[in-house]
Amino acid sequence: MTELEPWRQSGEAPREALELLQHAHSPSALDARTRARSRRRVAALSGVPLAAGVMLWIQNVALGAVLGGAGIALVTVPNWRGQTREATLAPVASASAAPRVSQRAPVFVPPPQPSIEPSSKPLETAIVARSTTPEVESPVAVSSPTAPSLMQEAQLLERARGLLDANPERALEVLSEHQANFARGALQLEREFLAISALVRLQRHAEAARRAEQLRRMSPQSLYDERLKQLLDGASSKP
Amino acid sequence: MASIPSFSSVAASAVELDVNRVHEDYADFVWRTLQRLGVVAQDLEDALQEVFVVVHKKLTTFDHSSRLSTWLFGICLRVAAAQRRRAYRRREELVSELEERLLADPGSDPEQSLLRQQAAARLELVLASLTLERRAVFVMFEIEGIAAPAIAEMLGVPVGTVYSRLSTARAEFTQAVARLERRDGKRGSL
Repeated sequence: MTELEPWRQSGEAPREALELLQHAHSPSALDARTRARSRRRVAALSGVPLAAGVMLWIQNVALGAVLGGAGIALVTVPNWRGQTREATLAPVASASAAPRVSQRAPVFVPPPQPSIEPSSKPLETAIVARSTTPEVESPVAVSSPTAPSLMQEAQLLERARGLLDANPERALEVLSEHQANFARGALQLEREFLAISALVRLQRHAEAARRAEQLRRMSPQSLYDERLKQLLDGASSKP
Repeated sequence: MASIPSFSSVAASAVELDVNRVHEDYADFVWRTLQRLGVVAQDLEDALQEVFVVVHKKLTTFDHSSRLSTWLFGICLRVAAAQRRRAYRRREELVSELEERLLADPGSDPEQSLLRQQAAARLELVLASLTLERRAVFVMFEIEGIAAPAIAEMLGVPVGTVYSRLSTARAEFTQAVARLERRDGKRGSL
């Protein structure tokens, strides 16, 4: 489909229509005082903001607990199962296997319990097989607390993405918020890409090109290369 | 095979939306959209408030299947349509208000002000002859210079729909201008 040009640029419109359009003004931006008045009214609409904040906090804590618990469970269950098996095997294991059991003990020592998964393998095979499985890091080193952070990062970026077309300036503010909270976050490359997209929409092409160069340096030959190329080429081809 | 939800949709559904946040992010968009839809300056603040009252009531029904801006545009359309009906009823009142302000503006050249007011009134008359959807597209494309793909994104419609609305709006705009010229011509010849 060929790109249409606005009448004022193409000059294809009837003269009277063009004359009339000369008196047109772009919609004005919302001024700070009206925004503040409107914000107060909207806050009043939403009931008691403090209560809403507390509810949100509780929800976030619950979400964090669930995700964190799930992460810990993922790591400790196999560990615990291994411990249980060893605990079951220990009395009859060979002397050479015994130290290995004690080396694994310090991080998490479950109370002796009956094995929930009796091994059908011969004794030695079971121990050797277990010793060749990769070591699982202790629960302390597990990144379970980052799961909620990742969710928060994603939420901020998704919020910014939703604002790109309607309000790129606000999108940039949200992305700055992401930068302040998650300077080295897992989604920092996506943040930079969104920021460049917002700058392009705001016609701040020089700034966009500068940040694109930084992004390329941060992550050479990444998937963003092609997206950046399309974004910046598309921007430069527009009047 | 079960479809895997995209990262984006998962994150979007997890976004905690509340009316305060929507206001923070989209108040300016709503404000501009209402102007694009022809809500006059005197009614803008009320209309803005009306939109957010609806957002407050209906936010739980927003299912993330479209962009939030698209959903908000739909609300703006309904609010602007209601405003348009009310404004029509009190058009006479508005005209007299405009005249009073014109006379009460001692700093400006009355003749120039009058010409500007007349031109603005003529433009508004022509734009008011368009349906609200076409008017919004026309204003965004012809007056604000927003590219068609960006308008499509904002309104949640295909680019083809934007071009189609624009093409119809241009034709209607041209016809309305011609009608106005004819009417002025008749008046002049009397």
